[in-house]
Amino acid sequence: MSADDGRTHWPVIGHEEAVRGLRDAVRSGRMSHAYLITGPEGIGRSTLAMALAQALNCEHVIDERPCGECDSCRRIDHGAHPDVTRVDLDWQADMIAAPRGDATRSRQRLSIETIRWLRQDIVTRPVMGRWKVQIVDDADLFSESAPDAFLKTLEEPPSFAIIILVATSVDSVSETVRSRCRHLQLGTVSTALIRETLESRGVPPAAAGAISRSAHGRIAWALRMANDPEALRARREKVEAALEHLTAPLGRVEISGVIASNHSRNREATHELLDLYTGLWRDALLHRAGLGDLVVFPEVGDRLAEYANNFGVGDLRRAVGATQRCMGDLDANMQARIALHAMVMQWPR
Amino acid sequence: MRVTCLQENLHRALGTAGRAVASKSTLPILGNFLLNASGDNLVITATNLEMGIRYTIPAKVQEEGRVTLQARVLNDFVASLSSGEMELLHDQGPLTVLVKQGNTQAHVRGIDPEDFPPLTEHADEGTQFEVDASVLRESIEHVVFAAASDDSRPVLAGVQLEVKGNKLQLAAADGFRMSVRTVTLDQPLEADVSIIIPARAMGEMSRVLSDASEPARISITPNQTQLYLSLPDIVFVTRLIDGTFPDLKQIIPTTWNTRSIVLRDTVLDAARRAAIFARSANDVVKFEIQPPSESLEMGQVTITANAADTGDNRDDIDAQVEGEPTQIAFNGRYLTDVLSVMRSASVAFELQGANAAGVIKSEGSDDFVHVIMPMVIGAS
Ligand SMILES: [Zn+2]
Repeated sequence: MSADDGRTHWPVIGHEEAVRGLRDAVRSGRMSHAYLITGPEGIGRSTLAMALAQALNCEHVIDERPCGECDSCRRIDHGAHPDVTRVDLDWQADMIAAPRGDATRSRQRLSIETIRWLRQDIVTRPVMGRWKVQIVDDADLFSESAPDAFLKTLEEPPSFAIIILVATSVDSVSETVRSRCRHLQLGTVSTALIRETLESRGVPPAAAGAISRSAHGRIAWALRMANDPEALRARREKVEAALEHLTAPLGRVEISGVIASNHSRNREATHELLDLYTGLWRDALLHRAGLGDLVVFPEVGDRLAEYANNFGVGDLRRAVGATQRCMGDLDANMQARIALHAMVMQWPR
Repeated sequence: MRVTCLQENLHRALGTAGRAVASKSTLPILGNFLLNASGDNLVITATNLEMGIRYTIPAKVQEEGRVTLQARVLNDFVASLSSGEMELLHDQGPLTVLVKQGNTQAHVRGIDPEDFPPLTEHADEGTQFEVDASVLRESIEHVVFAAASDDSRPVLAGVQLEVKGNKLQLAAADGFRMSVRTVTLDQPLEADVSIIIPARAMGEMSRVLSDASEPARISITPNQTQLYLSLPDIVFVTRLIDGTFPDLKQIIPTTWNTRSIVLRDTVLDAARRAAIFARSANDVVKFEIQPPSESLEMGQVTITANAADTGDNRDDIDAQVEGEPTQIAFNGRYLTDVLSVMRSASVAFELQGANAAGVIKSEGSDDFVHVIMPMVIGAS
């Protein structure tokens, strides 16, 4: 099931080859200072990154790292290890945007300020473990100026530092960043393995079957949904509703008005919805480009793929852009009605 | 845990340790104090990972224990109580503490202490030395303002601490200015030390030192990962920055063409006045320096600023001037920064000309050197 050889406890399901490579690197001490882990969201990329952080700082003898039990492994698992930091868009909203009174709390891009924080943090020596580990999730969402600011750190990280970038696709990371990292491409996990894993964790067979089928190889997603059936149901409903908005050209303007009138009361809800729109249009683009295995919403994949066939790649790319622009405009406090209307007018019909 | 202590002690401890509480964090426990009752003490700890503060107060411990409590709530509630005895105990399970004094009480909720970052006990190995607390605080204030606030080079956001023999030297630089302060230790160290401390932590360290009158003990872990500052009741710990600090010898000019000595208060007042007008002119404050001559009995330093839209000002200051007449322009904020932390009655400006770095020193002492880059004097 896992690539563990019985002595280590990599908390990773599937991805045997990647685990084997990392385990050998940890044992031989031939670590790279920068890793790039790519693959579709939800397949366990961050889990693998955290497992590597555990293996690096585990207190057990070298052949048994990570043990999953020592204080260091436990702290990394809880996000409470002083030398291991995981940065993503949520982290950025809490740590960088909110304290600066930045009400926009941009959730679209990893900002230059976040990169500055990482650059300043990476040079302080580890206090508890042997290694200072920075995990940058959502690395394909670097803002344009961010990779340049990050390059120097990637080029010459301190001897005690390891940086792990997590991204959806290797193409979404700039060549200069990629060339400085050891690349680990992760595939999806087999439906059978996901099902088996869920059942071994006490999920009833019927539910395990249903979740593993709609997981489309995304083990982390499946575990999340299995732990929270309510979230699974709520998410399905939201995705369905968003898909309906997307595929019903006639109702769009009216819907944009409804969203706009609710916006001032619940900005988070607007954000969530626009996130879904962006994801669905991006998926539509991927289906159209024959990259259906990379989509984020496989549960509506068939319908979305069929709908995407009505349009050109350029139309779909424009829709993604218009939706992202609308998020930015709302963050910049543009009048919601105008921003949302402009968005739906640029969606293909 | 069940412990009795004095409100005034706990209030002071929370106030000091509170400086290390994380104001923002994705790890909620960093917004908490760790309270540890054992022996005859209650120990309060806070950390934001970059630095940590541990404050020990005497207490009657009836039942030993550890708990973390929300820092802001605990601090504000304790501050509202009167001086005198107060009690902390569990009466609703291990994560909630009843804080009470007389007829007043509160339940403060906490988080399991197992995730609290360890503030390792400093081992007796590694480098250790003692330095007078007030001298150390003044030395930090002399340099810390010159550290970089952006991240152009991570090492410049730190303060370099070096010990060679019995000379302790602190230095900070941001690419436009540099401050170096030297202190003589009572005891020479056997092995040299060179470390870089985050400037933010250094600033907090000087605040922790502000009430201390005793010598402060500094310990550096053998692998140079952390520095500890120990006072009788307080331990302050900070992480250290890895990297190479610029070579100070290459930055500090060794010669001058014009040297002028002026009263510090007088030149500081003039610099502050000039800064009013320099505000809208890129902070450019001009110095014109005249040695004594037939028309001038004493040397003179003329400080001016002018802005097209707001006006201009001028101060003529008596000075002892040696060498050639010269002019130079400095950033007005940088000038007031350095002049206001210096303590000597007179300061010396050592200049090589309009386009070379200037040096500001305490007159009559070699323990402080400030280097400041000139600004380009416009055509006006
Ligand atoms: Zn372990």
